[in-house]
Amino acid sequence: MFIRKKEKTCVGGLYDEIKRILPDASAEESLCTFRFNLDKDDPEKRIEGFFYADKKRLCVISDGELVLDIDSSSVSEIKTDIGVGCIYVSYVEKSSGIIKLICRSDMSSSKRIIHALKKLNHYLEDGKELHASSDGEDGVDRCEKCGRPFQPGSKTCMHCTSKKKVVKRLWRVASPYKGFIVSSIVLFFLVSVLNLAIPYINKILVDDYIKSENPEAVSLFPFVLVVLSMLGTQLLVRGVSMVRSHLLINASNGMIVDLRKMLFDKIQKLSISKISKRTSGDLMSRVSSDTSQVQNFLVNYLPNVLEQLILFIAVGTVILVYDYKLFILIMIPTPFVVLSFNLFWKFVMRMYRRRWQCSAQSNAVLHDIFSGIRVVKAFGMEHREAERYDKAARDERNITEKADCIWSILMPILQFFISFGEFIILYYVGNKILGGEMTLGEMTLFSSYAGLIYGPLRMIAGIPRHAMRFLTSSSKIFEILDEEIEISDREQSVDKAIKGDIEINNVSFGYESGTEVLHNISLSIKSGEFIGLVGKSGTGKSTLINLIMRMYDVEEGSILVDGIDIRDYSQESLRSQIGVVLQETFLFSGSIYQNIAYAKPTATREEIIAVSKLAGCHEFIIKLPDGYNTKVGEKGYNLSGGERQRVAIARALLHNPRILILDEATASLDTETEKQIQDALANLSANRTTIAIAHRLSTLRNATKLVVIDKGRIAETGTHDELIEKKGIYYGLVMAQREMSKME
Amino acid sequence: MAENEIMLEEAAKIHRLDSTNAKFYTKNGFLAMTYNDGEEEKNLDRVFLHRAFPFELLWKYISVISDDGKEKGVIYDIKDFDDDISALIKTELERKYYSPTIKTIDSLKERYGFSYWRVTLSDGRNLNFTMQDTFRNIVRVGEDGAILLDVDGNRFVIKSIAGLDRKSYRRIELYL
Repeated sequence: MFIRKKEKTCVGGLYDEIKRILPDASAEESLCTFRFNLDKDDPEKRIEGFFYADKKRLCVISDGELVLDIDSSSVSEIKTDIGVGCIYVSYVEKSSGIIKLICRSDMSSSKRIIHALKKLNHYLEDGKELHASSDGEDGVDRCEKCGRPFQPGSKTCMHCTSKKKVVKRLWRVASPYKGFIVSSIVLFFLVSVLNLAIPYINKILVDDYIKSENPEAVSLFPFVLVVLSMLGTQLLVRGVSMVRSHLLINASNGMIVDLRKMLFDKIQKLSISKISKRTSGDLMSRVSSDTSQVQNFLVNYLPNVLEQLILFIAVGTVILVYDYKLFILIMIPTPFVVLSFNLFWKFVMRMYRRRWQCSAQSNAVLHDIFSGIRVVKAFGMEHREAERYDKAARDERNITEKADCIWSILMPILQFFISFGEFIILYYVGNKILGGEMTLGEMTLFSSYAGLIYGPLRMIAGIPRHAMRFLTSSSKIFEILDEEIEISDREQSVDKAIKGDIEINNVSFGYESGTEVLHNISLSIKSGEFIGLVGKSGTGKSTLINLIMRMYDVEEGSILVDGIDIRDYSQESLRSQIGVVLQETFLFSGSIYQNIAYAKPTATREEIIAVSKLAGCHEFIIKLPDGYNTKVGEKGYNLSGGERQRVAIARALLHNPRILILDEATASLDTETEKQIQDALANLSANRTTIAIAHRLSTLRNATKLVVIDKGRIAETGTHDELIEKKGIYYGLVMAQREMSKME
Repeated sequence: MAENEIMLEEAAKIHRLDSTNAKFYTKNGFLAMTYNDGEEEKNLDRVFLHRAFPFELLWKYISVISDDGKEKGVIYDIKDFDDDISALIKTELERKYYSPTIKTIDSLKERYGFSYWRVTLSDGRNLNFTMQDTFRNIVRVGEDGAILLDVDGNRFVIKSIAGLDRKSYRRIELYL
């Protein structure tokens, strides 16, 4: 649900409402205020509710009545639970630990509520106020002007972006190609003038030679000259058009390459959080299809429209000057043509959009079946899948038939409308010829001009549609270019070789505003230590690693490497000294050699073989017919999960990082291979800080320290023996795994 | 087949909850449960209900989960409980799965990948909401129903698409 501008809540308005019931409530004292709109008990009932909390009291107003007024000091925490289509807010009573429901709201205000409660919870936890920008109005991704939501990950409203601005900016991108563009515009005029000249020469040919009143007096030379001038003009039109197209193609291609490069560079600089909010399909579509849309408009559509428009104006002016009545007659079908084109176009577009959707659906079905062909065959479901595709294809055929049928009926009617104008002209000029007011040559001249006028009309009718598509694509391109780079290097960022000491101080972080994944984490890792991160799935282990690599910036607290905040390092310097192997390894299309050398393109063959031996992949690579030159990735040799992981480990080792991060890096390997790699890593990691996440606890047997993370907090820290003695979470995990291995 | 189902149920250790081994009531504004886990009677001050098939079976196969995220049992059908408890479960489910019903679609515009809806709900209220990737976010339910998911995470139900007035139908038709 979105709030239009006039309905938009503002903090001032909210307090006015609250003050009617709580006269001593003040914006200055407040720690948290928000609106909610659902009754907490009655599922469907909508209410107007307000939550207000300051250091002394916590109040809830429901439909103008104060329904809860308690001492803030009696509350230890405010909790939120997301339902389906709604959010619950409850508080934890300090004395008893009992959770009590406060209010319920639909999802429109959920982000605002979560964000507002963050400040209150911070105060309830340690009695300190949070001075970060955490007002209730934050955390809502909507345009301030129109209240519409932004595209995910964007802060630009597509509706409120000035279209003029877009064109201006595009012109700036085009400025290196000004020469080409100006010359091609001049050539446009030339082509239009030449196009006008052809019917005129034709008129001379008819009146002075073909229908000459005195054929005997006609000499051959001027006649040939006229014919040749006609040929010359035609040749000139084609020649000039060719030069003009060449100039335009040069300019637009250069411009599109520049635009694509700008876009690609910008996407590379954006943080993972920004990129992951968009699908790769969306980003690819912006780099390739939106830029193509702009190119198509600039190369194919705009020149044609310009040419036709100039021609339309020129022909119109000539006819108007010669005979204004004829001009009016020619113009009669114009509004009908433009209107009917627009009207029918909407209808036909609807049909074609449905067709497009059906086609996308049948493609999706096909993609689904082919991707899972092994499963289809394994379960003997070929027949069922064939039926599924058949249905999708049938739907597409039906809608295509309908759309084409309607189009084939509409088009001739529209064409008739256009040619109807030509009949009127024929009637008018025919009458004039019969009355002796016009010559046959003049008739051919005006018939040709009429033809020239109706051509542009068809094109002009489509201008709004094409222009809209072009402007939308341009806006989408500039939306990415305008994205704020969240993780950027500071002005005086440091480029320095690191030792590997890591200090994590009171770090809190959440991917979504208000929902914390890590809470107040503090950890000290000395250079050369091997730290094992242990905990259940989804407790925040990988998030912590992402923060150390500065894929995201911490919300609160800081991470120091060698005593310097990681935000003070240049990203390139920091990441070039951190090596990472993830559970999901990605290998680029190319050879195994290229994939390993990715981390260090200057690596020698000896180095590649050495790291491969260390990572335990040399043995299987060497047995492949093409050895290290074996192609992997798409259309390449199909490596197993374990093989891919070993190649990725080799890649990380070649990187020779000061900090090595292994996120379930050896999970797909058998225990024996894992042990070999672990031993190799142990030899290498003597002076290297290693942080490893593993569910298989034996992976971490070389760890100097184990850190158990539970529900986003550090629950236990110590060596294996210390934690076993403690009999806490780690002990439980070890015992569970021992039970498992006994069963095996 | 039925034997196979029982075996699976036993193997998966599904604890089926009904009026013989569980009782629901309200405590501190939340749904609470007293149940017998096969060994002893236990009290849970807050339980969460999760529909296993929220688009198809609204009152069947309801998982009951405790505060620590563990499943304590499954209600196969709310009819397995007495009327008053069954009504309590139903209210709790309706409270958690908040999805107002759309009566008419008064306006539907699409721009830049978003669709902007103005609708009238069954209680007569007018409402604006926005959907993204509209085609994917309209989930067909049963033969004739649909659930619409908006950008904020709100859900709206259309009980019968064929039952919509002509104008409303024409507006939504493109996305079906």
